[in-house]
Amino acid sequence: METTLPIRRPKRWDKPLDPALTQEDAEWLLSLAPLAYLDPTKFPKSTPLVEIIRNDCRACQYEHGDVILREGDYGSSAFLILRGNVRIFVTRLSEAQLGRQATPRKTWWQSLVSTMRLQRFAEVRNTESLGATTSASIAIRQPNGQTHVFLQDVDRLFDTHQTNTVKTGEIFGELSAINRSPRPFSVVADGPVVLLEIRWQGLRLLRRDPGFREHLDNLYRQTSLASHLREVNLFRFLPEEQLTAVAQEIRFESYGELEWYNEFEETQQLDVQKRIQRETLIAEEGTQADHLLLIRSGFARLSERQGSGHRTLSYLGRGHQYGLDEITHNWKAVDRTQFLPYQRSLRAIGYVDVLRLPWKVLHEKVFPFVRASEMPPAIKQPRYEPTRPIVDSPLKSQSGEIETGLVEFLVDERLINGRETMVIDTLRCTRCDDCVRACATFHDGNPRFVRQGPQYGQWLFPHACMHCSDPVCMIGCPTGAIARDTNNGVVSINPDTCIGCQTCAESCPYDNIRMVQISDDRGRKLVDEQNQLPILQATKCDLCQSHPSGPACQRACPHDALVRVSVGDMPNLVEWLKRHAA
Amino acid sequence: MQLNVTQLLHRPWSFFAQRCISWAITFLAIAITLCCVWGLTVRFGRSDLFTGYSLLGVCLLLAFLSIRKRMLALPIGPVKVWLQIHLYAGVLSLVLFVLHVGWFNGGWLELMLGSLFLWIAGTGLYLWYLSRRIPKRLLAVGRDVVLEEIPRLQQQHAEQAYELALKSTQLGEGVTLADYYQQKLVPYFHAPRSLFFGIVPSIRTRRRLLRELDTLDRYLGTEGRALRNQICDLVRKKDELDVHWAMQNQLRFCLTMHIVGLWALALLITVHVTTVLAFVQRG
Repeated sequence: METTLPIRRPKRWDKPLDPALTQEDAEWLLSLAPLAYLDPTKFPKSTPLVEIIRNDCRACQYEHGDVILREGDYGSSAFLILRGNVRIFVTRLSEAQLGRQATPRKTWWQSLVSTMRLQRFAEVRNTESLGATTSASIAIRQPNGQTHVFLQDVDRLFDTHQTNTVKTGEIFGELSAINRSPRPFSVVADGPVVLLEIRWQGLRLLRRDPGFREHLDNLYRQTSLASHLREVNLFRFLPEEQLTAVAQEIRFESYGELEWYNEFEETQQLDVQKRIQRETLIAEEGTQADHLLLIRSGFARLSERQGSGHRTLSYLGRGHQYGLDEITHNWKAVDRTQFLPYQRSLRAIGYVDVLRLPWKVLHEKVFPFVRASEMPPAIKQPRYEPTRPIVDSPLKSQSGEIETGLVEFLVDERLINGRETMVIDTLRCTRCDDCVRACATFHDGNPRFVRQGPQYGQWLFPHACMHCSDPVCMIGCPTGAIARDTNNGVVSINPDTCIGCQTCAESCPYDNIRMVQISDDRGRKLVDEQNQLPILQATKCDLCQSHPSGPACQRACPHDALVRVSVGDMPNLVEWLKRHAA
Repeated sequence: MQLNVTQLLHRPWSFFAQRCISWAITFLAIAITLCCVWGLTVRFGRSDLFTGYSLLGVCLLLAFLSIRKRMLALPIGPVKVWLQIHLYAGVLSLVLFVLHVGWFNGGWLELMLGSLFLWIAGTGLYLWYLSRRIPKRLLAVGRDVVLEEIPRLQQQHAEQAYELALKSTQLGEGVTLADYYQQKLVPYFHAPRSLFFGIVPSIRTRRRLLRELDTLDRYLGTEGRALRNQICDLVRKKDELDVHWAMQNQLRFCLTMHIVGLWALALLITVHVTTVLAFVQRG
């Protein structure tokens, strides 16, 4: 019996963004400005420029008033205008104008009354407001099977708001697509417009062109680098002149896969060592500590070799830095031959954007302005030294104040993404389900989480929305029904604009979004009038944000076993774990 | 360093510190009560009225946990705080009960009232014990299961065991496994466990079945043994589910008993207080 089956090796671009785009189309697009300015010789043979355009781009058509980008949304594409104009709203459009429903905060009395009311049927929705959107200013149209939201009174909005016109040949949305950051502004079509959508994979490849790369880097340098650097302790008190000089020396780099969530389940099936090998290595222990790496977005695994594998020591997120200990140690060292290499390895978990700063810049332009007390201490027992052989370190079951196994688990399950992760201490939880009942009470009788999920020892991480740092569920929502509250970071779904397309539920790698069949206030299940298929809507935990009391689950737990905690914020998590493990 | 009272109050106390503070407050309340009773006794006052009203007040405080759980939107602190108040007020209520009743010499109403109070105290103490025992026991069992999921999973395991037993007859190794399934595993997988298991779940039956399945090895070939291993796995899983079922239901049953007693007590207290007040006014 044959034990192997030969197949064609899967390749990049097996699934182009637009299968209808031909080689001729791609060549024609490359003849248009600004794509014509890209230098094809800068691209390797494996990823030629014309193939990037053919496989990672697609043409989209929008009508006058169509919303192309909504402020605060997450997306993974940039847009090049092929024909027509679009308007960028410099002044903000209101949440209602963008088709979002600002969750009204109830008073204590309203909250009490609403939680005491008995709901006879599950998942009841107001049929009047469904599909019609919440405000009279927007509506939905579905040309060629695509869903577009458009502003009804767009001309008046153009008059009353400050806008910038972006014309044919210009590109927008590139920075937030590459950085996985919320869109900083809304973009609306001003007349019929044809756009070339470029997905992030293509954008990354286009960065090989020096001109395009410089354009992106300058854009970031101009818009947000200074404020990002000021968030880092090291640069907080640096004089403006020095900070500008430092900013000029910084290099931007991206590692890993932005669409990590597509392969998450498959990766979970892999052997532990293969899983870690799959992660892109950013810096390796034992190599020259020549750069300070600042994490701009995403997460990275800090590990060290242990036997024939790697032991995770910690995970780094936005604002964290790598290599500072070694570079500071080397700065204090008198003899340059005693310079220490990196003591730990850094790998991209999913994707990570880093800022790379050479050690010389730190030595000359930063360290003279930092107080000695704020500098990290010298490394007392380095693992790697230039003159000594590398010896495997003894096995430690703790990583700082947290069990190593738990750190590995949090990273492997990508729970580090959670900002409001539900954690249950099963050594205190009596399984009374008061948390589930409370959740149902606060959501008209429909619980928004399941008290089951990944578990490490006594710590259970139920399937409840974590309101992630990297909210992948928000990518691709055609109506913007799933949105993040800019004030408190809560990700919630607007039932009036959710069309039940399941994009968010399928994107969520944690299975924390459930599709439910909805009914009217008389308990009749709602079905499509054309094909009689049930109408579904996405539901998830909204942290009870309409109630003044906060998350009901945490409030209702009688045994102090449940908490909503930011797993990405390790000190906070450690404090809670320590208190419970004691 | 300035002492910030708000920060101090919002600091997450360790469980040990919480317990120390709660016990200190409880003992202080008991001491104050004893002093008051002693003071009233030496001055020939009505200490029974004092302990009676105090007991009534504490009982109302105890009952408030139930109301708090139903009115989660009320801005009066999380349930965990109210449960702690409930526990320590329960201790105080026992002291007040002893002071109020003394050597029991009342009529049938008082006898019922006292018995009911002790019933609630007893179930309360047992609930407290369960709340500490159940998490440890369930964590030791292994995988966590939601109570509502258990019947479905039990059914699934029973069907899988049946399939395996049936499959074993097709291997040409005789009907050993199928016979054993028919004799011992059908009741195990399909019938509910005993009432005793419901109160004190143990792994005795599982051990016996696994031991017996082990001894079947000598009558089985390689494939039969593989099937036997799978059946053993199902026996283990079924037992885990049964333990979950028993423990989680035990907690719910005791809680129901505790709350039913509470409502009955509320009714009898009303009768008792009305009667007492009528006699006090006459006297």
